[in-house]
Amino acid sequence: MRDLDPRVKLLWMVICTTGALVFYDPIWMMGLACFSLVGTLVLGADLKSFIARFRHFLGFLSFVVLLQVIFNRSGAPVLSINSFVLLYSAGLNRGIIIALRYFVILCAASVMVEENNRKVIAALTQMGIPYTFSFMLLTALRFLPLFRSSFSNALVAIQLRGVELNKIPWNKRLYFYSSLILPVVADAVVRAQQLATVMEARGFGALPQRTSYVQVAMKFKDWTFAILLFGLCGFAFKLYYFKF
Amino acid sequence: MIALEGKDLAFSYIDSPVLFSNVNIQVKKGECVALTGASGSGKSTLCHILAGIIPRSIEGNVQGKVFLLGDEIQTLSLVQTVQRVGMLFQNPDSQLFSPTVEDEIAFGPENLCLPREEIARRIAHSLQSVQMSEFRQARTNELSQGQKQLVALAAVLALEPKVLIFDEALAPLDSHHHGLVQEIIQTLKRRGKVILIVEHDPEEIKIVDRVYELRDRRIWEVYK
Ligand SMILES: Nc1ncnc2c1ncn2[C@@H]1O[C@H](COP(=O)(O)OP(=O)(O)O)[C@@H](O)[C@H]1O
Ligand SMILES: [Mg+2]
Repeated sequence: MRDLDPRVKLLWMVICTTGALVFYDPIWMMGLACFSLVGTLVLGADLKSFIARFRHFLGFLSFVVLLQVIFNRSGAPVLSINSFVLLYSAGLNRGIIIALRYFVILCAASVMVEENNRKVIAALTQMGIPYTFSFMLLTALRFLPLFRSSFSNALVAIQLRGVELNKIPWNKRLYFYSSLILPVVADAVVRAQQLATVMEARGFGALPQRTSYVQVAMKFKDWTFAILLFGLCGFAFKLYYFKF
Repeated sequence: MIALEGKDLAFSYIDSPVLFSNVNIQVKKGECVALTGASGSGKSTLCHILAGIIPRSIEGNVQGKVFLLGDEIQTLSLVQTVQRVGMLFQNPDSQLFSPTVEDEIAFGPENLCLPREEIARRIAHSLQSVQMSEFRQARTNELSQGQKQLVALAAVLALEPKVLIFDEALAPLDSHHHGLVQEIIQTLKRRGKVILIVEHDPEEIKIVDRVYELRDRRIWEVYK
Protein backbone atom coordinates (compact mmCIF):
# COMPACT_ATOMS: atom_id res chain seq x y z
CA MET A 1 0.00 0.00 0.00
CA ARG A 2 2.99 2.29 0.50
CA ASP A 3 3.36 2.70 -3.25
CA LEU A 4 -0.17 4.04 -3.74
CA ASP A 5 -0.35 7.09 -5.97
CA PRO A 6 0.34 10.30 -4.01
CA ARG A 7 -2.97 11.70 -5.24
CA VAL A 8 -4.84 8.90 -3.46
CA LYS A 9 -2.84 9.62 -0.31
CA LEU A 10 -3.72 13.30 -0.65
CA LEU A 11 -7.39 12.39 -1.01
CA TRP A 12 -7.19 10.26 2.12
CA MET A 13 -5.51 13.12 3.94
CA VAL A 14 -8.14 15.65 2.86
CA ILE A 15 -10.96 13.32 3.94
CA CYS A 16 -9.42 12.70 7.37
CA THR A 17 -8.73 16.36 8.09
CA THR A 18 -12.17 17.44 6.86
CA GLY A 19 -13.74 14.85 9.13
CA ALA A 20 -11.61 16.08 12.01
CA LEU A 21 -12.89 19.62 11.52
CA VAL A 22 -16.52 18.68 10.89
CA PHE A 23 -17.30 16.00 13.48
CA TYR A 24 -18.48 17.29 16.82
CA ASP A 25 -19.26 14.07 18.58
CA PRO A 26 -16.72 12.15 20.69
CA ILE A 27 -17.85 8.74 19.40
CA TRP A 28 -17.49 9.76 15.77
CA MET A 29 -14.16 11.41 16.53
CA MET A 30 -12.88 8.20 18.11
CA GLY A 31 -13.97 6.26 15.06
CA LEU A 32 -12.19 8.73 12.81
CA ALA A 33 -9.06 8.62 14.97
CA CYS A 34 -8.92 4.82 14.67
CA PHE A 35 -9.52 5.05 10.93
CA SER A 36 -6.73 7.63 10.57
CA LEU A 37 -4.26 5.68 12.68
CA VAL A 38 -4.83 2.50 10.68
CA GLY A 39 -4.63 4.51 7.45
CA THR A 40 -1.38 6.15 8.52
CA LEU A 41 0.28 2.83 9.20
CA VAL A 42 -1.13 1.16 6.10
CA LEU A 43 -0.21 4.04 3.79
CA GLY A 44 3.39 4.02 4.83
CA ALA A 45 4.21 6.12 7.88
CA ASP A 46 7.01 4.52 9.85
CA LEU A 47 5.64 3.44 13.26
CA LYS A 48 8.78 4.40 15.17
CA SER A 49 9.04 7.93 13.79
CA PHE A 50 5.29 8.34 14.16
CA ILE A 51 5.54 7.56 17.87
CA ALA A 52 8.51 9.93 18.20
CA ARG A 53 6.54 12.70 16.51
CA PHE A 54 3.53 11.97 18.70
CA ARG A 55 5.63 12.22 21.86
CA HIS A 56 7.02 15.58 20.79
CA PHE A 57 3.47 16.69 20.28
CA LEU A 58 2.10 15.39 23.57
CA GLY A 59 3.04 18.42 25.68
CA PHE A 60 1.24 20.84 23.40
CA LEU A 61 -1.75 18.52 23.20
CA SER A 62 -2.12 18.20 26.97
CA PHE A 63 -1.89 21.96 27.32
CA VAL A 64 -4.67 22.58 24.81
CA VAL A 65 -6.89 19.90 26.32
CA LEU A 66 -6.31 21.21 29.84
CA LEU A 67 -7.39 24.68 28.73
CA GLN A 68 -10.61 23.29 27.29
CA VAL A 69 -11.37 21.14 30.29
CA ILE A 70 -10.73 23.89 32.82
CA PHE A 71 -12.39 26.82 31.12
CA ASN A 72 -15.40 25.14 29.58
CA ARG A 73 -17.78 25.24 32.54
CA SER A 74 -21.12 23.96 31.31
CA GLY A 75 -23.04 20.69 31.36
CA ALA A 76 -23.25 18.26 34.26
CA PRO A 77 -20.51 18.19 36.90
CA VAL A 78 -18.25 15.14 36.43
CA LEU A 79 -15.62 15.60 39.09
CA SER A 80 -15.74 17.83 42.13
CA ILE A 81 -13.79 18.36 45.33
CA ASN A 82 -16.12 19.27 48.19
CA SER A 83 -18.44 21.73 46.46
CA PHE A 84 -15.93 22.99 43.88
CA VAL A 85 -16.54 21.45 40.46
CA LEU A 86 -13.28 20.60 38.70
CA LEU A 87 -14.70 19.05 35.59
CA TYR A 88 -17.92 19.51 33.63
CA SER A 89 -19.22 17.11 31.00
CA ALA A 90 -19.16 19.67 28.18
CA GLY A 91 -15.55 20.55 29.00
CA LEU A 92 -14.57 16.91 29.03
CA ASN A 93 -16.32 16.29 25.71
CA ARG A 94 -14.67 19.26 24.15
CA GLY A 95 -11.25 18.24 25.50
CA ILE A 96 -11.62 14.78 23.98
CA ILE A 97 -12.75 16.18 20.62
CA ILE A 98 -9.88 18.67 20.43
CA ALA A 99 -7.30 16.04 21.40
CA LEU A 100 -8.57 13.62 18.77
CA ARG A 101 -8.80 16.36 16.17
CA TYR A 102 -5.10 17.15 16.51
CA PHE A 103 -4.31 13.46 16.57
CA VAL A 104 -6.12 12.90 13.26
CA ILE A 105 -4.32 15.85 11.66
CA LEU A 106 -1.01 14.49 12.92
CA CYS A 107 -1.80 11.08 11.39
CA ALA A 108 -2.72 12.64 8.08
CA ALA A 109 0.39 14.82 7.99
CA SER A 110 2.65 11.87 8.86
CA VAL A 111 1.78 10.12 5.63
CA MET A 112 2.76 13.11 3.52
CA VAL A 113 5.96 13.67 5.48
CA GLU A 114 7.16 10.16 4.71
CA GLU A 115 6.13 10.35 1.08
CA ASN A 116 8.86 10.93 -1.51
CA ASN A 117 8.25 14.58 -2.35
CA ARG A 118 9.37 14.16 -5.97
CA LYS A 119 6.40 11.84 -6.49
CA VAL A 120 4.11 14.41 -4.92
CA ILE A 121 5.55 17.14 -7.14
CA ALA A 122 5.19 14.90 -10.19
CA ALA A 123 1.55 14.25 -9.24
CA LEU A 124 0.80 17.93 -8.65
CA THR A 125 2.50 18.89 -11.91
CA GLN A 126 0.45 16.31 -13.79
CA MET A 127 -2.63 17.93 -12.24
CA GLY A 128 -1.59 21.20 -13.86
CA ILE A 129 -0.08 23.00 -10.86
CA PRO A 130 3.04 25.07 -11.72
CA TYR A 131 6.23 23.31 -10.61
CA THR A 132 7.66 26.37 -8.83
CA PHE A 133 4.58 26.46 -6.60
CA SER A 134 4.80 22.76 -5.73
CA PHE A 135 8.49 23.03 -4.88
CA MET A 136 7.82 26.10 -2.76
CA LEU A 137 5.04 24.36 -0.85
CA LEU A 138 7.01 21.20 -0.13
CA THR A 139 10.17 23.11 0.75
CA ALA A 140 8.21 25.19 3.23
CA LEU A 141 6.89 21.99 4.84
CA ARG A 142 10.43 20.63 5.03
CA PHE A 143 11.55 23.79 6.81
CA LEU A 144 9.06 23.46 9.69
CA PRO A 145 10.90 20.77 11.70
CA LEU A 146 14.05 22.81 11.12
CA PHE A 147 12.59 25.62 13.18
CA ARG A 148 12.17 23.28 16.10
CA SER A 149 15.72 21.94 15.88
CA SER A 150 17.33 25.38 15.58
CA PHE A 151 15.20 26.57 18.47
CA SER A 152 16.47 23.78 20.69
CA ASN A 153 20.03 24.37 19.43
CA ALA A 154 19.77 28.01 20.47
CA LEU A 155 18.36 26.90 23.82
CA VAL A 156 21.30 24.57 24.39
CA ALA A 157 23.71 27.35 23.43
CA ILE A 158 22.17 29.62 26.06
CA GLN A 159 22.32 26.91 28.69
CA LEU A 160 25.96 26.21 27.83
CA ARG A 161 26.71 29.81 28.69
CA GLY A 162 25.66 29.04 32.21
CA VAL A 163 22.05 30.15 32.23
CA GLU A 164 20.07 27.57 34.11
CA LEU A 165 16.63 28.00 32.72
CA ASN A 166 14.77 25.99 35.30
CA LYS A 167 16.09 28.21 38.09
CA ILE A 168 14.71 31.33 36.45
CA PRO A 169 11.18 32.50 37.31
CA TRP A 170 8.75 31.76 34.51
CA ASN A 171 8.11 35.40 33.49
CA LYS A 172 11.85 35.98 32.96
CA ARG A 173 12.08 32.64 31.21
CA LEU A 174 9.49 33.88 28.76
CA TYR A 175 11.81 36.78 28.00
CA PHE A 176 14.61 34.33 27.19
CA TYR A 177 12.40 32.34 24.86
CA SER A 178 11.32 35.46 23.01
CA SER A 179 14.95 36.55 22.60
CA LEU A 180 15.57 33.21 20.88
CA ILE A 181 12.97 33.73 18.19
CA LEU A 182 14.91 36.32 16.21
CA PRO A 183 18.09 34.23 15.80
CA VAL A 184 16.00 31.19 14.91
CA VAL A 185 14.21 33.09 12.16
CA ALA A 186 17.51 34.60 10.98
CA ASP A 187 18.99 31.11 10.83
CA ALA A 188 16.07 29.87 8.75
CA VAL A 189 16.40 32.82 6.39
CA VAL A 190 20.10 32.08 5.86
CA ARG A 191 19.35 28.44 5.14
CA ALA A 192 16.57 29.34 2.75
CA GLN A 193 18.91 31.73 0.94
CA GLN A 194 21.56 28.99 0.70
CA LEU A 195 19.02 26.52 -0.62
CA ALA A 196 17.80 28.98 -3.24
CA THR A 197 21.38 29.64 -4.35
CA VAL A 198 22.19 25.94 -4.68
CA MET A 199 18.97 25.23 -6.57
CA GLU A 200 19.48 28.13 -8.94
CA ALA A 201 23.10 27.11 -9.55
CA ARG A 202 21.63 23.89 -10.94
CA GLY A 203 19.24 25.69 -13.22
CA PHE A 204 16.04 25.77 -11.16
CA GLY A 205 13.49 28.19 -12.59
CA ALA A 206 15.39 28.66 -15.85
CA LEU A 207 12.51 27.51 -18.05
CA PRO A 208 8.74 27.74 -17.70
CA GLN A 209 8.47 23.95 -18.01
CA ARG A 210 10.57 21.21 -16.53
CA THR A 211 10.85 17.49 -17.09
CA SER A 212 9.85 15.18 -14.28
CA TYR A 213 12.10 12.14 -14.27
CA VAL A 214 9.73 10.47 -11.79
CA GLN A 215 6.36 9.67 -13.34
CA VAL A 216 3.24 8.69 -11.47
CA ALA A 217 0.23 6.98 -12.97
CA MET A 218 -3.05 5.89 -11.36
CA LYS A 219 -3.14 2.10 -11.46
CA PHE A 220 -6.08 -0.26 -10.87
CA LYS A 221 -5.20 -0.45 -7.17
CA ASP A 222 -5.20 3.35 -6.89
CA TRP A 223 -8.60 3.75 -8.56
CA THR A 224 -10.10 1.01 -6.37
CA PHE A 225 -8.78 2.64 -3.23
CA ALA A 226 -9.92 6.10 -4.31
CA ILE A 227 -13.46 4.90 -5.11
CA LEU A 228 -13.65 2.99 -1.82
CA LEU A 229 -12.57 6.13 0.03
CA PHE A 230 -15.16 8.25 -1.75
CA GLY A 231 -17.89 5.71 -0.99
CA LEU A 232 -16.94 5.41 2.66
CA CYS A 233 -16.72 9.16 3.00
CA GLY A 234 -20.15 9.75 1.44
CA PHE A 235 -21.69 7.05 3.61
CA ALA A 236 -20.14 8.44 6.81
CA PHE A 237 -21.21 12.03 6.16
CA LYS A 238 -24.73 10.94 5.32
CA LEU A 239 -24.94 8.90 8.50
CA TYR A 240 -23.53 11.77 10.53
CA TYR A 241 -25.87 14.45 9.22
CA PHE A 242 -29.08 12.54 8.46
CA LYS A 243 -28.76 9.65 10.95
CA PHE A 244 -29.84 6.88 8.58
CA MET B 1 42.44 29.27 -25.20
CA ILE B 2 41.05 30.86 -22.05
CA ALA B 3 38.04 29.03 -20.64
CA LEU B 4 37.29 31.19 -17.63
CA GLU B 5 38.39 34.75 -17.14
CA GLY B 6 37.71 37.48 -14.60
CA LYS B 7 38.77 40.87 -15.92
CA ASP B 8 39.35 43.93 -13.68
CA LEU B 9 36.89 42.64 -11.12
CA ALA B 10 36.00 44.74 -8.11
CA PHE B 11 33.36 43.84 -5.62
CA SER B 12 31.52 44.97 -2.51
CA TYR B 13 28.48 43.54 -0.78
CA ILE B 14 25.58 45.95 -0.27
CA ASP B 15 26.45 48.46 2.47
CA SER B 16 29.90 46.92 2.95
CA PRO B 17 33.42 48.14 2.11
CA VAL B 18 35.21 46.98 -1.04
CA LEU B 19 36.22 43.35 -0.63
CA PHE B 20 38.69 43.28 -3.53
CA SER B 21 39.53 45.22 -6.68
CA ASN B 22 41.78 44.95 -9.77
CA VAL B 23 41.28 41.21 -9.76
CA ASN B 24 42.37 39.44 -12.94
CA ILE B 25 42.22 35.68 -13.12
CA GLN B 26 42.49 33.32 -16.08
CA VAL B 27 42.01 29.59 -16.35
CA LYS B 28 42.99 28.06 -19.67
CA LYS B 29 41.58 24.95 -21.31
CA GLY B 30 43.02 21.81 -19.78
CA GLU B 31 44.22 23.62 -16.66
CA CYS B 32 43.60 23.03 -12.98
CA VAL B 33 44.15 26.25 -11.06
CA ALA B 34 44.07 26.77 -7.30
CA LEU B 35 42.89 29.85 -5.40
CA THR B 36 44.03 30.39 -1.82
CA GLY B 37 43.86 33.14 0.77
CA ALA B 38 43.03 33.72 4.38
CA SER B 39 39.56 33.06 5.67
CA GLY B 40 37.37 36.05 4.86
CA SER B 41 39.62 37.25 2.02
CA GLY B 42 36.81 36.76 -0.47
CA LYS B 43 37.57 33.42 -2.14
CA SER B 44 34.00 32.19 -2.04
CA THR B 45 32.77 35.57 -3.21
CA LEU B 46 35.10 35.49 -6.21
CA CYS B 47 33.92 31.95 -7.07
CA HIS B 48 30.31 33.10 -6.90
CA ILE B 49 31.08 35.94 -9.29
CA LEU B 50 32.91 33.63 -11.70
CA ALA B 51 29.97 31.20 -11.66
CA GLY B 52 27.43 33.98 -12.18
CA ILE B 53 25.77 33.32 -8.80
CA ILE B 54 26.64 36.90 -7.88
CA PRO B 55 24.73 38.98 -8.93
CA ARG B 56 22.03 36.53 -10.13
CA SER B 57 21.19 34.86 -6.80
CA ILE B 58 23.16 36.95 -4.30
CA GLU B 59 23.18 40.74 -4.38
CA GLY B 60 26.32 42.85 -4.63
CA ASN B 61 28.10 45.54 -6.64
CA VAL B 62 30.21 43.84 -9.28
CA GLN B 63 32.52 45.81 -11.54
CA GLY B 64 34.51 44.31 -14.39
CA LYS B 65 33.64 41.37 -16.59
CA VAL B 66 33.54 37.60 -16.49
CA PHE B 67 34.11 35.60 -19.67
CA LEU B 68 32.95 32.02 -19.82
CA LEU B 69 34.18 30.01 -22.83
CA GLY B 70 34.51 33.23 -24.79
CA ASP B 71 31.18 34.88 -23.95
CA GLU B 72 30.50 37.50 -21.35
CA ILE B 73 28.54 35.84 -18.57
CA GLN B 74 25.94 38.63 -18.40
CA THR B 75 24.84 37.82 -21.96
CA LEU B 76 24.19 34.13 -21.19
CA SER B 77 20.85 32.77 -20.02
CA LEU B 78 20.63 30.67 -16.84
CA VAL B 79 20.24 27.54 -18.98
CA GLN B 80 23.42 28.37 -20.91
CA THR B 81 25.36 29.35 -17.79
CA VAL B 82 24.71 26.18 -15.80
CA GLN B 83 25.76 24.07 -18.77
CA ARG B 84 29.08 25.91 -18.91
CA VAL B 85 30.02 26.27 -15.26
CA GLY B 86 29.17 24.17 -12.21
CA MET B 87 30.05 24.84 -8.61
CA LEU B 88 30.56 22.59 -5.63
CA PHE B 89 30.09 24.30 -2.26
CA GLN B 90 31.77 23.58 1.04
CA ASN B 91 28.88 22.28 3.08
CA PRO B 92 27.51 18.97 1.73
CA ASP B 93 24.32 19.21 3.80
CA SER B 94 23.16 22.47 2.27
CA GLN B 95 23.63 21.10 -1.25
CA LEU B 96 21.35 18.09 -1.05
CA PHE B 97 17.62 18.69 -0.87
CA SER B 98 16.08 15.69 -2.62
CA PRO B 99 14.72 12.50 -1.07
CA THR B 100 16.95 10.06 -2.96
CA VAL B 101 20.31 10.17 -4.74
CA GLU B 102 18.59 9.58 -8.07
CA ASP B 103 16.19 12.52 -7.50
CA GLU B 104 19.10 14.74 -6.53
CA ILE B 105 21.05 14.05 -9.70
CA ALA B 106 17.98 14.24 -11.93
CA PHE B 107 17.19 17.72 -10.56
CA GLY B 108 19.59 19.69 -12.81
CA PRO B 109 18.80 17.92 -16.10
CA GLU B 110 15.08 18.16 -15.28
CA ASN B 111 15.45 21.94 -15.08
CA LEU B 112 17.01 21.90 -18.55
CA CYS B 113 13.87 20.14 -19.80
CA LEU B 114 15.89 17.23 -21.19
CA PRO B 115 14.04 14.09 -22.31
CA ARG B 116 13.76 11.36 -19.65
CA GLU B 117 16.01 8.91 -21.53
CA GLU B 118 18.78 11.50 -21.60
CA ILE B 119 18.29 12.16 -17.89
CA ALA B 120 18.58 8.44 -17.18
CA ARG B 121 21.83 8.32 -19.16
CA ARG B 122 23.24 11.29 -17.27
CA ILE B 123 22.31 9.87 -13.87
CA ALA B 124 24.07 6.60 -14.63
CA HIS B 125 27.09 8.34 -16.12
CA SER B 126 27.65 10.91 -13.40
CA LEU B 127 27.17 8.35 -10.62
CA GLN B 128 29.79 6.22 -12.33
CA SER B 129 32.19 9.18 -12.46
CA VAL B 130 32.05 9.55 -8.67
CA GLN B 131 31.99 5.77 -8.03
CA MET B 132 28.60 5.88 -6.33
CA SER B 133 26.53 3.78 -8.76
CA GLU B 134 25.34 1.37 -6.09
CA PHE B 135 23.83 4.27 -4.09
CA ARG B 136 21.40 5.32 -6.80
CA GLN B 137 18.28 4.49 -4.77
CA ALA B 138 19.74 5.48 -1.37
CA ARG B 139 18.15 8.22 0.72
CA THR B 140 20.33 11.32 0.75
CA ASN B 141 19.93 11.97 4.48
CA GLU B 142 21.35 8.54 5.28
CA LEU B 143 24.70 9.15 3.55
CA SER B 144 27.99 10.08 5.24
CA GLN B 145 29.49 13.55 4.72
CA GLY B 146 31.94 12.19 2.15
CA GLN B 147 29.24 10.33 0.23
CA LYS B 148 27.05 13.44 0.28
CA GLN B 149 29.81 15.51 -1.27
CA LEU B 150 30.28 12.87 -3.98
CA VAL B 151 26.55 12.98 -4.73
CA ALA B 152 26.64 16.78 -4.85
CA LEU B 153 29.51 16.51 -7.34
CA ALA B 154 27.55 14.00 -9.43
CA ALA B 155 24.56 16.36 -9.39
CA VAL B 156 26.76 19.13 -10.82
CA LEU B 157 28.36 16.79 -13.37
CA ALA B 158 24.90 15.79 -14.64
CA LEU B 159 24.61 19.29 -16.11
CA GLU B 160 27.83 18.49 -18.06
CA PRO B 161 29.52 21.86 -17.47
CA LYS B 162 32.92 22.44 -19.05
CA VAL B 163 34.19 24.48 -16.09
CA LEU B 164 34.07 23.18 -12.51
CA ILE B 165 34.62 25.30 -9.41
CA PHE B 166 35.32 23.59 -6.08
CA ASP B 167 34.90 25.99 -3.15
CA GLU B 168 36.78 24.28 -0.30
CA ALA B 169 34.75 21.24 -1.19
CA LEU B 170 37.45 18.90 0.07
CA ALA B 171 37.88 20.51 3.49
CA PRO B 172 35.07 18.68 5.32
CA LEU B 173 36.07 15.24 3.98
CA ASP B 174 37.82 12.40 5.79
CA SER B 175 41.15 11.26 4.36
CA HIS B 176 39.61 8.42 2.34
CA HIS B 177 37.14 10.69 0.55
CA HIS B 178 39.74 13.45 0.29
CA GLY B 179 41.94 11.11 -1.73
CA LEU B 180 39.02 9.79 -3.74
CA VAL B 181 37.81 13.26 -4.74
CA GLN B 182 41.35 14.21 -5.77
CA GLU B 183 41.50 11.14 -8.00
CA ILE B 184 38.13 12.04 -9.49
CA ILE B 185 39.26 15.62 -10.14
CA GLN B 186 42.34 14.26 -11.90
CA THR B 187 40.19 12.05 -14.12
CA LEU B 188 37.84 14.95 -14.87
CA LYS B 189 40.82 17.09 -15.86
CA ARG B 190 42.07 14.37 -18.19
CA ARG B 191 38.61 14.26 -19.75
CA GLY B 192 38.95 17.94 -20.61
CA LYS B 193 37.22 19.70 -17.73
CA VAL B 194 38.59 23.07 -16.67
CA ILE B 195 39.02 23.26 -12.91
CA LEU B 196 39.28 26.07 -10.37
CA ILE B 197 39.80 24.81 -6.86
CA VAL B 198 39.74 26.84 -3.66
CA GLU B 199 41.94 25.41 -0.90
CA HIS B 200 43.62 26.73 2.21
CA ASP B 201 46.68 24.66 1.47
CA PRO B 202 47.12 24.09 -2.27
CA GLU B 203 50.17 21.93 -1.58
CA GLU B 204 47.66 19.26 -0.61
CA ILE B 205 46.32 19.12 -4.12
CA LYS B 206 48.99 17.57 -6.27
CA ILE B 207 47.40 18.23 -9.62
CA VAL B 208 47.23 22.03 -9.69
CA ASP B 209 49.11 23.80 -12.47
CA ARG B 210 49.10 27.33 -11.08
CA VAL B 211 48.11 29.06 -7.84
CA TYR B 212 46.45 32.42 -7.24
CA GLU B 213 46.26 34.06 -3.84
CA LEU B 214 43.81 36.66 -2.57
CA ARG B 215 45.65 38.98 -0.18
CA ASP B 216 45.31 42.66 0.77
CA ARG B 217 42.25 43.06 -1.45
CA ARG B 218 44.24 42.06 -4.54
CA ILE B 219 44.96 38.86 -6.38
CA TRP B 220 48.51 37.56 -6.84
CA GLU B 221 49.82 34.72 -8.88
CA VAL B 222 52.01 32.55 -6.71
CA TYR B 223 54.66 30.50 -8.40
CA LYS B 224 55.04 26.95 -7.21
N1 LIG C 1 26.07 37.55 1.51
C1 LIG C 1 26.96 38.35 2.13
N2 LIG C 1 26.62 39.59 2.49
C2 LIG C 1 27.50 40.41 3.11
N3 LIG C 1 28.76 40.07 3.41
C3 LIG C 1 29.18 38.82 3.08
C4 LIG C 1 28.31 37.91 2.42
N4 LIG C 1 28.98 36.75 2.22
C5 LIG C 1 30.22 36.96 2.73
N5 LIG C 1 30.35 38.18 3.24
C6 LIG C 1 31.58 38.76 3.84
O1 LIG C 1 32.55 38.91 2.83
C7 LIG C 1 33.85 38.54 3.31
C8 LIG C 1 34.44 37.46 2.40
O2 LIG C 1 33.74 36.28 2.56
P1 LIG C 1 34.06 34.97 1.72
O3 LIG C 1 34.01 35.31 0.26
O4 LIG C 1 33.15 33.90 2.16
O5 LIG C 1 35.57 34.67 2.13
P2 LIG C 1 36.39 33.29 2.11
O6 LIG C 1 35.66 32.32 1.25
O7 LIG C 1 37.73 33.65 1.57
O8 LIG C 1 36.50 32.83 3.52
C9 LIG C 1 33.65 38.09 4.74
O9 LIG C 1 34.03 39.16 5.58
C10 LIG C 1 32.19 37.83 4.86
O10 LIG C 1 31.73 38.13 6.15
MG1 LIG D 1 34.77 30.43 1.65
